[in-house]
Amino acid sequence: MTRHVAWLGGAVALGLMTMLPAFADEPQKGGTITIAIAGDPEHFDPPDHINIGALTIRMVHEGLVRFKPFSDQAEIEPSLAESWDVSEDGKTWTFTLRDGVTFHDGTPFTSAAVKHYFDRVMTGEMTNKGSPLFRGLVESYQAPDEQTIVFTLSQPHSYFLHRLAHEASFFNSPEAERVHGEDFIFNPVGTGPFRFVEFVPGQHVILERNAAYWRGEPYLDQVIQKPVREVGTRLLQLEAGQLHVAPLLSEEMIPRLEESPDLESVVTLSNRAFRISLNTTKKPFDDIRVRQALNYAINRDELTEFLFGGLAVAIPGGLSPKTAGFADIEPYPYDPDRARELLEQAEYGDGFEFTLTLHGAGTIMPKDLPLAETIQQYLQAIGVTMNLQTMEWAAMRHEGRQPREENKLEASFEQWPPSTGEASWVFTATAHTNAVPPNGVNRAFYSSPVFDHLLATSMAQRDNAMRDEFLRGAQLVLREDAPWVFLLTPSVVAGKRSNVQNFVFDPVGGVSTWANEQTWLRQ
Amino acid sequence: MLPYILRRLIHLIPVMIGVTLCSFLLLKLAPGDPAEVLAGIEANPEVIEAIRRKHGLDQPLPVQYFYYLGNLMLGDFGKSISTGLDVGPMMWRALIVTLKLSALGLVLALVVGIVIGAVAAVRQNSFFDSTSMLFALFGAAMPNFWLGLLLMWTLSVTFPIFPAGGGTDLYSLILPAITLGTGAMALIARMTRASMLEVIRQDYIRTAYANGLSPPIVIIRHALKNAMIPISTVIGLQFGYLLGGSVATEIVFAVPGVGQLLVDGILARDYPVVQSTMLMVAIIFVLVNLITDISYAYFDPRIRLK
Repeated sequence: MTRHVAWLGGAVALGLMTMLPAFADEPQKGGTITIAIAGDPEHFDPPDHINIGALTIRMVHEGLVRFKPFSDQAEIEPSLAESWDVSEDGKTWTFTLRDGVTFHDGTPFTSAAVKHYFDRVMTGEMTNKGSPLFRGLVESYQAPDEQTIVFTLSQPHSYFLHRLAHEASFFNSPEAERVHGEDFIFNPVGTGPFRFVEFVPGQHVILERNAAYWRGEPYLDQVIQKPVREVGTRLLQLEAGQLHVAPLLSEEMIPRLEESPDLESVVTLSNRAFRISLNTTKKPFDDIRVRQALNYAINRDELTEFLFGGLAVAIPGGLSPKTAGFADIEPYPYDPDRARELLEQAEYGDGFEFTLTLHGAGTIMPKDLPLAETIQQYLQAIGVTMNLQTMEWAAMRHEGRQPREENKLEASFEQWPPSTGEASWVFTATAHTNAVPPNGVNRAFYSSPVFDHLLATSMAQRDNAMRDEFLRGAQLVLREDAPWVFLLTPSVVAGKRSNVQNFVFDPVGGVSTWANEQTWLRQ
Repeated sequence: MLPYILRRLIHLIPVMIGVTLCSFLLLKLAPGDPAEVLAGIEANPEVIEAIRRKHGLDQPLPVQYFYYLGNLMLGDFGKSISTGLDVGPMMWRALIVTLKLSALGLVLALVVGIVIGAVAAVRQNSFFDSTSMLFALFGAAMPNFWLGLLLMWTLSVTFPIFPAGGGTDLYSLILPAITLGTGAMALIARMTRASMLEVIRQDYIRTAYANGLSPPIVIIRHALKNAMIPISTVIGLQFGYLLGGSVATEIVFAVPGVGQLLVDGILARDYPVVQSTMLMVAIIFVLVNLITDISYAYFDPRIRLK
């Protein structure tokens, strides 16, 4: 077993330890918990482009399936669909909906709500997030009766269920959309464990228990979300008792959390795969040996151990171990001699100079600046000078989308957390030939027919073991071609009061946190 | 004086047009695109294009500008790109909070700053004088966000007297107001001291003492009032800076004011929000300057505003 897998085992053990009191104690009913969110929710229309609002949606709305709340790698379990069948050719998916589920407004949940959702995302302008999840993939959808919905896909897709578990695929009550008119996006009505009460911008979102919840009555009376942007303030409010859960803390805060008997730290491996994307169409990165040399020059164990205090794992490819489809292959070893040798062969024995562009904002990629400075040292050791350039994030995004001739990024820091929790989403968006800018965000301009083929084949598999085998092949190709300098996956740190039990820390490995029907408060 | 005020108010119009044009151009010239931010890192170009069309961002710049200006004339501040909410109510709500915070900060800065400055001037070269001026130096040099975190740590966590931010009621705003007002307080204290030192050496002060007036009356009625003219300029300017400087304080204390609105708006390239908020802040800044100018006439009847 390699080191990072051992670490993962440790994380599971840690997760179990924090869950143990839940088994020892009898859950109690009642209580209100207050959770910090990183800013104001935009609004609450599931398929639309929302980030922070999605955390409310996770509690108010539901989809056909969901991510298992306490799973380690984006596993799927049934939700509003009781069961499903896939046809022999993998193209026809028949879902049987759960009977007797009602929306918070009292209207029954039936296949009409599912159809209503797909009518919205499959037609008209593609201004929402739901459209790219399903357009081109779903060819048709029918509701033969109230409890059945049938999808016909244009091609088999082994991660179709993950797309249905995405919060942009959750269902709002069609009746509520009719009643509230344009304002329905601020009056969310779902089937989830908590019903929406109010949203006061800048102040809070208040949710209350849905006593008629089909999985059983939730324990908590109320859930309050409060926007707190500053990380230090989140910690102080947690310590002062104003918050029960403070997500997105920094790892330097762990000792302080551990000092207090009322507080706990929760460390979860994230779904972020830190990497440096090298523009493979520009010299010297058009030479595979140069790209490999850079990968050999990085001491990942040192980075994870010293810069991230052991709370990160070295990664072999473009995926976090938390992402479904992650292949457990050996990361590039630290071998500066081999790196120098490769540079010699590529006739860059005297080294070269290039510029790495990064956000430098810290919030999007924690520690990206110290990380870049350490990498600078490693590269200096093999004679390569890396200059650093920070760019504001919206500007960097814009730059990254420019076509090849105009794209000025030589190398850039990336992380790409896949919101569907699986490999195909991130690879299709950032490594496939079709995603080369301006059509996508493949900033390495990486184009490999072999990789593309393996990715497509893996998606067509009906057997999950076969799918993972092809994905493993794709990741081996990626590792060999090295369009990226593979770095590491960091953890996310949250703090909570010790009496909060069974709180959900994003099973997809992102940064979202939410309460569900099993969450309770020891009083 | 009335014609003067009217004329100054008319001056507001070109200022407003200038501000809208500048904020519009600055935002458009900044690289980055609200549609790209809104669509998220995973989005494909089709989605980005559709969002651009939906918000009229595919139109030529002059068209976008005059469209915005036209709506503004009708009192319509537009809709936020990221939330779809009307910008007007969003902005008023935030503005009221920030004005409350800035006013509270300014009152604190004024009361404490003038008292310290006056006492330090009267007791020049005393122990109080040197320590208070040293503290004033610290106050001016201390970054807002750091002071805010220190205050929260001591007065919310270690000694739980005040809430650790998050509220907009007067009690919750005390710590943010101290944080915000400290810099201005330090400046006002130093200005008051310098101005007072000059005034108390004047002949009329000696005359006032010679007439048998008690020291507090001489200091407050005669010395301080005359020392106020340069101070009032600083106060006017400081209020403007407090409005702008509340950004860091608001973020640290999770106060939902203009600062947060602007920062979020700029990061998301939410043009309507940023433009309208900047416009409002500019108008307030100009009005405060006007009030400052009028106050000169009160402090020094020799000044006639024409």
